[in-house]
Amino acid sequence: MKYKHKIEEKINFYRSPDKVMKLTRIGSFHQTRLSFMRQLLRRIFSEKWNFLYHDWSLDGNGFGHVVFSVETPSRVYSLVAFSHDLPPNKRSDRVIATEWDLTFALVKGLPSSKEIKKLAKEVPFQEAGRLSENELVLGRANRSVRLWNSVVEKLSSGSQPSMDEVKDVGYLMRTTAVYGSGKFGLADRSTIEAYEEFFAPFQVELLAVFLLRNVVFDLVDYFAKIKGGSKAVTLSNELKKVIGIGNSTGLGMAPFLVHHPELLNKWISARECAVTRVLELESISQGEFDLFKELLSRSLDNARNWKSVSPSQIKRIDVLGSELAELIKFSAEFDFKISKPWLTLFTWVEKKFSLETQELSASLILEPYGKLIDELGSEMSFKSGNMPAINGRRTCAEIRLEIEENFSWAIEVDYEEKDQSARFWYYSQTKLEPRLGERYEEEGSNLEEPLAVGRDIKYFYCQLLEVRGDRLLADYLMEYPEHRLAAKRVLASNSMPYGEIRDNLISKNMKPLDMLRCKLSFFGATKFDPRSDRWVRICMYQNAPLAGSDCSLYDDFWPYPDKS
Amino acid sequence: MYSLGEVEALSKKASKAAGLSWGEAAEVGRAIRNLAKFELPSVEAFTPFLNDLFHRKVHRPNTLEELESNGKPLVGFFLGLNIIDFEFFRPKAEKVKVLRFEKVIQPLTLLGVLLPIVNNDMKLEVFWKNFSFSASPNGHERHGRNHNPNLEQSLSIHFSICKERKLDSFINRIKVKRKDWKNLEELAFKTYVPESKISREKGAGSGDLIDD
Repeated sequence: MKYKHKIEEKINFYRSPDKVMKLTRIGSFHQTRLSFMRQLLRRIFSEKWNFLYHDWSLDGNGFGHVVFSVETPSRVYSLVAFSHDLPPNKRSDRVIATEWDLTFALVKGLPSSKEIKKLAKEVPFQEAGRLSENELVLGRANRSVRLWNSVVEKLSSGSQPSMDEVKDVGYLMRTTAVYGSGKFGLADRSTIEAYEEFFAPFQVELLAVFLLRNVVFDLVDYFAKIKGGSKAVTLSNELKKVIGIGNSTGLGMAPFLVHHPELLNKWISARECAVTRVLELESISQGEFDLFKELLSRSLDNARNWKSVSPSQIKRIDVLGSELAELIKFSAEFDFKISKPWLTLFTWVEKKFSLETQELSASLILEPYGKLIDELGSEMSFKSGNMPAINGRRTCAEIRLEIEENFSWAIEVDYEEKDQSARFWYYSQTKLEPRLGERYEEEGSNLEEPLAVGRDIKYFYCQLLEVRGDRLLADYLMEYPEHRLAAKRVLASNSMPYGEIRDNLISKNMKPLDMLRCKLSFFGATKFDPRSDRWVRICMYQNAPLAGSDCSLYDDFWPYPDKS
Repeated sequence: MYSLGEVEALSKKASKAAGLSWGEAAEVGRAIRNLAKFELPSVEAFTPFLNDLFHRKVHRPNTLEELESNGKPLVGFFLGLNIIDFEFFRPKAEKVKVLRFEKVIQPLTLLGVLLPIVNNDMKLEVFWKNFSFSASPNGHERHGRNHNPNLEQSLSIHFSICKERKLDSFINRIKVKRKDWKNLEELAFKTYVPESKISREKGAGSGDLIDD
């Protein structure tokens, strides 16, 4: 309880980093009202952003380009999307794919026809193309063939698809990559981080996906019209609302959390600060508790609609369902008028339920408290270029003490045991993406990427035990430069208590999926459907209001749809 | 034109392949980004250093005494790292000083490493023959044509406190000579792991990819 958050110096976090920063727990996170999609939609609808098509240049087969723009209070952005004729045998979500159903770029302003021509020469080629500073995001998407064909068929014959069928898949298209932050020539994050609309993390990428969602709806209507002519109808708004954008996410995303401890710390400390603020409330109102109970009940519906092919995830969802039912009963009889009611309720949940339910409960208790916690959203970014430096005037003895205090989880592991060092992270020569290898079965561990944080800090610690305690770190690092990265992480740990995943990232039992889910939950993703321990399908913006819908009707609780 | 993010990421990998530790390689990436931001030669400033390093032509000092001992030329990058490690967290008043060095190899690499100190409300000025550069939170300027020498006989660094803070403007993209970029790519490639049967089957995770 000694860790402090910058935004509120007096707060002591309820949950320590030792408790929170375990893979199994971060791998059970759910979206919260601080998630980046939630932050973006609150801004879009409170600032009444305008959405408009400026170009719809599709041919009689549905192929060509469209330009869908959004006007914020200060700037205009456009999604330029290219619809392609993709033979079924070329449809693949894998990184090796070279063609997709749809490719897109989010650009600053309204593109001229000359710019669109230029984009048409680059965007469809994705990683093989070159973008410019005017482009913020590059991405691609493939159809969910089953749902797409079925929806086109139904709409073209004048009827709507069934709600169950639509909900079952949850998306008409899924993105297989969404790039930003300077990749392939795109604008660097530093060029837009001063824009108010992009203060929160990943807003520009998530804006592109939000725009894409509407484009996909209009595309499916267009394809139905091509097929059915005058008989065709457009997809109903009721159905559109339950359709999000799918996404396949693999190992490429996992190292991000390790490479950016400053961001991980910002995200998790904001979340934990929010949880602590709510748990410390002395009293709560009937309205606040009723809202919690309502959203709890809707969460049970969500759990029942959460489909997965993963046996372990299916089991977790089953347990979640039965525990939520129990929590609903408990809440119905719970006396919310006691002192610190949320603390009492949450402590009960922590003692009794699985991590999946604990973390969903952590999300749910935040929901009634926008005024109390939403300001934390602006604390979740990290200005590029502000990386912590090394304080070389610290002594080796001081660093040893800090390791003992903050990295006991790392130094207690015996990395000489094969199971504890069974894996290694590497960068694939063929795929140009991070991959996970088996250290004792494969070649390549000599080219290991620096993700074995625990092991590296232990080696640093053991080496420090061999040198004079009063030796200055700057001097030490001249002789032992291999420990520079570990030294930096140790020095940062005091100001970034939630910056490290406190688990062994190269052990035999480590599941990269936990890292993916952590990051995706901060995005606001739902319906996690692991396809192996290394990649996962998710849904984005399912149940969210549509772009351009009535701002006065905006429902901030859209991730928990009302059954009625 | 390349984004600074691309340049930093590739430089980091290339530096690792050239023989630096991951921690030092990250410093190279940031130093290159900083030089580029301030419109100084960046990739081209580090290319000779990385190539020398790769071909084991760089003498790296193991101790402060060795770094400070007279005679051998100082390698700009390692000297810069040592200075920033000592100076970055020093109380502001103690930071104010002038440092002078003789025989510095690739002095721009030193400057790139020192530039983050400007974020700490400090003014940094560096001088060598026919070149001066200053940067502070108020802005930056350079004079002279000798902006990327290989060996400089005399170099001085001035740290002073900057009380005002205005918004400086930086560039966000740079041109990199084709041969320098290729050099970075070739070095970085040495850190990548070739595909194997196991990696094909398990590296990214197995599973049916198209089922809906």
